[in-house]
Amino acid sequence: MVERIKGIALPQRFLGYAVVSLMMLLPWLDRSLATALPLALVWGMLALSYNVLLGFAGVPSFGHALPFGLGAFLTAILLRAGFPYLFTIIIAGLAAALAYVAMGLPAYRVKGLYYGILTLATAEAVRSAIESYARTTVAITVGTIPEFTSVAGLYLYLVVFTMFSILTLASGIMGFIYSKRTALKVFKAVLLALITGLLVFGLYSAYTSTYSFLVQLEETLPYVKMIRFLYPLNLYFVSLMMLYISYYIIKRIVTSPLGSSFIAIRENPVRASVIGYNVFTHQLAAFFASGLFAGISGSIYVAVIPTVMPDVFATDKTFIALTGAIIGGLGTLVGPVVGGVIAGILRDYLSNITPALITAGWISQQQAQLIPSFMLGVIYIGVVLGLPYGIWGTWLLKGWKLKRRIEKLLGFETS
Amino acid sequence: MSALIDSLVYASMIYMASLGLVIVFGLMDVFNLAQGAFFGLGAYLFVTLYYVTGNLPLSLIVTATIGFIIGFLTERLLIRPIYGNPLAQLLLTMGLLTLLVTFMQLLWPSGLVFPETGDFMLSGYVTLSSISIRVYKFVVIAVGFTLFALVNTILSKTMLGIKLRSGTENRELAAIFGVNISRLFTLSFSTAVALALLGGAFVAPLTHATPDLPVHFSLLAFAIPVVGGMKSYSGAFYASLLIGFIDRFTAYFVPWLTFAVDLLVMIIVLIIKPEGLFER
Amino acid sequence: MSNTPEPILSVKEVHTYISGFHILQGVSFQVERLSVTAILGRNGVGKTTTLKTIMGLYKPSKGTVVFKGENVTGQPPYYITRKGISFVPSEKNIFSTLTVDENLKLAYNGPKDKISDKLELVYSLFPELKKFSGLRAGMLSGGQQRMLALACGMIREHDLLILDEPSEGLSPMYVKNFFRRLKLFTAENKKSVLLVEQNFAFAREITDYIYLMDKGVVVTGFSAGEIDQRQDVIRRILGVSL
Repeated sequence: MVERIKGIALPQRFLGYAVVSLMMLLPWLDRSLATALPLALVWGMLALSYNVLLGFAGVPSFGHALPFGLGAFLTAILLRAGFPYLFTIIIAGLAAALAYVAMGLPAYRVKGLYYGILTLATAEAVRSAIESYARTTVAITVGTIPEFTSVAGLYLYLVVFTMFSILTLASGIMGFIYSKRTALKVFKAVLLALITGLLVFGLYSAYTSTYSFLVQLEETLPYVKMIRFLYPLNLYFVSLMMLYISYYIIKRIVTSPLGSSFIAIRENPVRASVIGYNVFTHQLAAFFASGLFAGISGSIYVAVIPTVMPDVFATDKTFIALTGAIIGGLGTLVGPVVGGVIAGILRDYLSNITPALITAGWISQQQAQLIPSFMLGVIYIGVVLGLPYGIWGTWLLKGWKLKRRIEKLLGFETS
Repeated sequence: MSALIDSLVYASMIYMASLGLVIVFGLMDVFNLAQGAFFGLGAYLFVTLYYVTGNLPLSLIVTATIGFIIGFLTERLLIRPIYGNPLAQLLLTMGLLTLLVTFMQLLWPSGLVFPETGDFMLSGYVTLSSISIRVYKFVVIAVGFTLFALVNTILSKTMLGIKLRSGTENRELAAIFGVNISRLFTLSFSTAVALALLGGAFVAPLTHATPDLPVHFSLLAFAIPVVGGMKSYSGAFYASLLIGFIDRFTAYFVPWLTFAVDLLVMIIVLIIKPEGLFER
Repeated sequence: MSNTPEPILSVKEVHTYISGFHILQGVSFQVERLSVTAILGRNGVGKTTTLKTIMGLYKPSKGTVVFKGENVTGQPPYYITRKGISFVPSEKNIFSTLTVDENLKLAYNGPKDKISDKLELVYSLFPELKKFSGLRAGMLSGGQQRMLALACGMIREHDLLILDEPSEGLSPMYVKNFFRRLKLFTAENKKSVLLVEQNFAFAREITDYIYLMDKGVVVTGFSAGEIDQRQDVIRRILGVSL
């Protein structure tokens, strides 16, 4: 039993748990983050799903917007029809996965560049078909999602938050105990203390505000106030959890024999088939996994942005996933998530950087929102040219050099 | 009847958009995903210049020159570092495409309308078998065909053409034969981009500079090397005709399926004859 | 060889890597002016790689290539060609999408007004090609394509002609004939020739110097006169006697 617990709270997992806990902490520090972040998390998930296909299986698909858009549209339609949200997520994910598999069928026959063009064209074809068929702008608006207004969600949030905080502390302490070098120990201790402080403070404010909320609930709080409190938290919670779960599942897939077969196929398809991997079906499996999570991220997208239009199939959605994966690091697990989140934040929220230009009347609000996209594009090109493995990827590959230097500076012997 | 004319016009437009793509891919094995974006950029630049100067030939020349310069810089700064790395090329040109599209949306958020002019050639109409047809459409058709003739002449009659064809067939051998490959690359790329911008300029009076122009023509342009043969200069022309006709006739009967049909053609060709329909 | 002038080509300690493989591991040899020099070796020892390195198609990681006194190591191919080296590869050595005439015109890099004279010269050496001058080179037979490749090599203004396995694919009778004519041509026109060959017997006929290559290095070199004395080395490296 103790071994079991020790197994979960491994020191190496410290970073992961810490990140999740701190992420869960955020809304209690600043409520507005709960509304701002989910969209970025969606992009992180999309980039993650894209990475499965491009980074691990090596398939250059430029039509990633397709499963995403499909997931979004299906979710919107089903929600309007009154289905429960969780159900729509599952359906959307599966449908997107199957659609992507269908799109993946030619990948075996049509190689590389040609396939990329094909996928690009397909996604756009769907978009223009929907737009011109409808003759007017298609927009499906979803009202508030009922599940997000439940108090149960709040309880769940608190439980999970506490659990992750405990895991963080446990693995942090283990890491502290097991680390050998004094300087490193001190560093870890300080870090642990900081994080503990933050988490404790966070848990405290979480519990107290929940408590006062519940008290007010007894006295029949106006509906609007209730929604304002619950909705963002639930939305944030769901998106964060979906991201984490997706990450976890994908990690398991990639480190499994199936995942290794992806990499083998990516590197040398002929060799892989000679060894005995059925390249075709394995590729389709990659499409399935990638499509599944793309569709799920499409579902979450609908929760964040309640109006779905055909532009969900537009190439710029693929591009965000692509940028996220590239900046973060193709072929790594963490990279695309971080890259996607960063790309999302840059694109959606940094228009606030240019208020001065707007007030000067030079550019409109709409145009201002494009500047970050533009900068993102420039960064993207810079990364492709300069840091081909992405930020995280380069760190993984070359980062040990930096580590060595820092260790030398701090004065321990290298082992 | 009007569908026929429109098909020819469309074919011309697609040819102008995709010729640069074929040239660059044939010689350098670089598929410039951003070609269509340059096409759109040309349209915007041209209309802006026309508003500013009111002078048609000047605007055209300036647009083409700007195109050449942009192409030169792009080749030097962006393409050089990634020779021989097909994945990076795809990724980079895709990024360039998005960058350019965003740039255009930034500067001209709602597109630009080419103004009505008193010029008969530009804005006038002519009546053929009881249908009123824009005269400029014939201009576009003429330009397209002239371009084809020009390209053919250069390729078959000039030393430059021989160098180009040799480089397209076998880069290494051309180098041994004394061709300065790197200079040829830069020249071709710059010309290809200039062509794209010029093409956009020619098209602008007809279609106006709209935000979806770059994307729309990008995808159509991509179809051409696929259907006509990735490295075939004449194939590009015939493929443009083919796609132009299929596209416009579909548009006539089933408008919302237009792009889907184009895509279908691409897929069919890829599966049946991946090297393209028209050899060399 | 102390009174002879500078060799026209001098390759020293060249190392070339291809895709991480250490193909040339220190190649050194010289081509004396106005001589016919041959590099012999079995398949895969690095002969073609050596030639391509000289031509600038590969950049050596170490070592130098000096041509007519100038260090041309790592220069782009067009530069080296213009300096006066004409290279005929062993395969894919003509443009099949160009006509015979266009191939020759492209190969020719001298003054424009002399081009018709040069064409005449070449067509006289290769009468068969004249018949097909307007035909796309891809339509020629294998042997004719080889001839075209050699013709292109010769029409180019050069001081050093480098041929990679020129006898391959040619009928034995033609081989004899052609290379006798080649030897005459180069002697008359003051050219030097570097050959890479597997056809050892023929090589013996026309060369002045021979180098033996094995496993990415030049093992030894000697003049044609010493062939009989060096049979043991020859047998060891090439597996046959000359």
